[in-house]
Amino acid sequence: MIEILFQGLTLGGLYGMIGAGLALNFGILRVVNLAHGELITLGAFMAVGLIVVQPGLPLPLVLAGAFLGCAVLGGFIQAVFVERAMSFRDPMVAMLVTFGLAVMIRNGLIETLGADLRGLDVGGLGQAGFRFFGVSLGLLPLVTLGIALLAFAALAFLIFRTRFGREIRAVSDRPEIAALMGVRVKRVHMGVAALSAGLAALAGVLLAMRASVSPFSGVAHLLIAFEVVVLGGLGAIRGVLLAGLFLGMVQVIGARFDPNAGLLYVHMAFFVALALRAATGRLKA
Amino acid sequence: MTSSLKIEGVSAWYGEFRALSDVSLAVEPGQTHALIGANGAGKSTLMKLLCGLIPHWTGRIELDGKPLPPGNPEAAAALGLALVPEGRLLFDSLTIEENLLIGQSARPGPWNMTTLLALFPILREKRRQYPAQLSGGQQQMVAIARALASNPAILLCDEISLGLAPAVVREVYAALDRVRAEGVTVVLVDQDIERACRDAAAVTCLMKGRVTHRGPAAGVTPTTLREAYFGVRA
Repeated sequence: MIEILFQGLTLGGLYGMIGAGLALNFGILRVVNLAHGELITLGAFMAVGLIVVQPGLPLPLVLAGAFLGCAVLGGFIQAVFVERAMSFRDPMVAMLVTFGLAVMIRNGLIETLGADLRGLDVGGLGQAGFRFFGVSLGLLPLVTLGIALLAFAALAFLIFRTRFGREIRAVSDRPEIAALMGVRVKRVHMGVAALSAGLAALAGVLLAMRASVSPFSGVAHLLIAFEVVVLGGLGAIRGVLLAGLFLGMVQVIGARFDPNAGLLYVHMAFFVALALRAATGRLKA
Repeated sequence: MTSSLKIEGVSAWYGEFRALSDVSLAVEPGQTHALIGANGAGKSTLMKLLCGLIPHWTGRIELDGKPLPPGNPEAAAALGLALVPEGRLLFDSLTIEENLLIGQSARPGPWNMTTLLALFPILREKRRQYPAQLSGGQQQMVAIARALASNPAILLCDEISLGLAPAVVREVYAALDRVRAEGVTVVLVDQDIERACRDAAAVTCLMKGRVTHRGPAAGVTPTTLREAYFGVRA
């Protein structure tokens, strides 16, 4: 029981991380970023690359490197491509731009690194474990969960306790009025896109620590991200974390009874939750 | 220091529709200037245009001799224009205090959290609440205080008394008097023409996007008003 709970929380924290950037992007910028999955993959590959270039690099530096690399790219993409697309009234334009960017990132990865599966070598951390109430648990999942929770706490602090966070919420509420108040809306958009891409990179590193990723993994990540965001609420940080934890628990419990199910029960739970929400009228909100 | 606003030959469009035609007016420093006119006359369009919310216009607008670039709200805020929008349009996910803090980066000046809460003392106890928890009058006070937080040279108030109880309207106008006393020039739009003309030093009337009357508020009579407002000669 403790083991299931532990594994579920770990996977759920990871799913929450996968959805966090997408939720932020859609909640604030109102842009459905179809390149989010590719940014997750790119983050994972950046971490792998850092370890190859600098073997033995401490994990916090690997995370920081991938975060910064993707954040800079995310801010650049927003400033050069997406901001312009957002000026069109039809939201489909920005969505199609991100779709194009996803194709470019995916093919760029294949072209430069090949289509092979790669994982992040975490050294002894992968095998390390500890005993908790008589149950043997891995240290790596605990580290993964800890990083995810820390990232969510930092994100909540940034959004609700800082001036930049205040500007983000104001721009999300009423961008035109925020601009009238002297808020530099495009700069806030860039910051949000950078933050979103950075969170995607963190999720990518955590994924690569526990499993292999390939340039084609982005689509699967995007699907999970959408489910987490739709369940948790667009732009709702706590909701996204809870939705991630819920889906993670479902997957672990499902795998216990049906080891070959993969993500089947996750998708089913998502549909059931949506149906329940629609039945209780919460879909409108 | 008080500031003057000069609008010369301004025309504006919403797509094909021409909302303002060759509008000219001058707002004297330190005064309250009332913009009046029937619904659809172009008052709110002019207010939005001044704040950079309408990109397509021609003509010239100067604030203390500096030209206003079209469609650039951030530049308008930096120049010293602030809007109290129709319907308040507060930031719903920010507390009252956060709503007031958001504008404080625009320009230096006398308005800060202390002076704003002194202007509207009722907001002191509401500062941790969200806009939805406040009455319409209190929300209007937040909207005025939020605009003042950017330390504007010119405060633009659109439909300032719309939907407010008479006692609250009196309170809002009294606050605007104090704001003007601090050197802020006020341009206001109000459907309550009598109230607006009583408080203003000058009045401009718009009809179908054109200026039909311009002059001191003291000189406005029911006859001139009827002609300017409806285009009907007595």
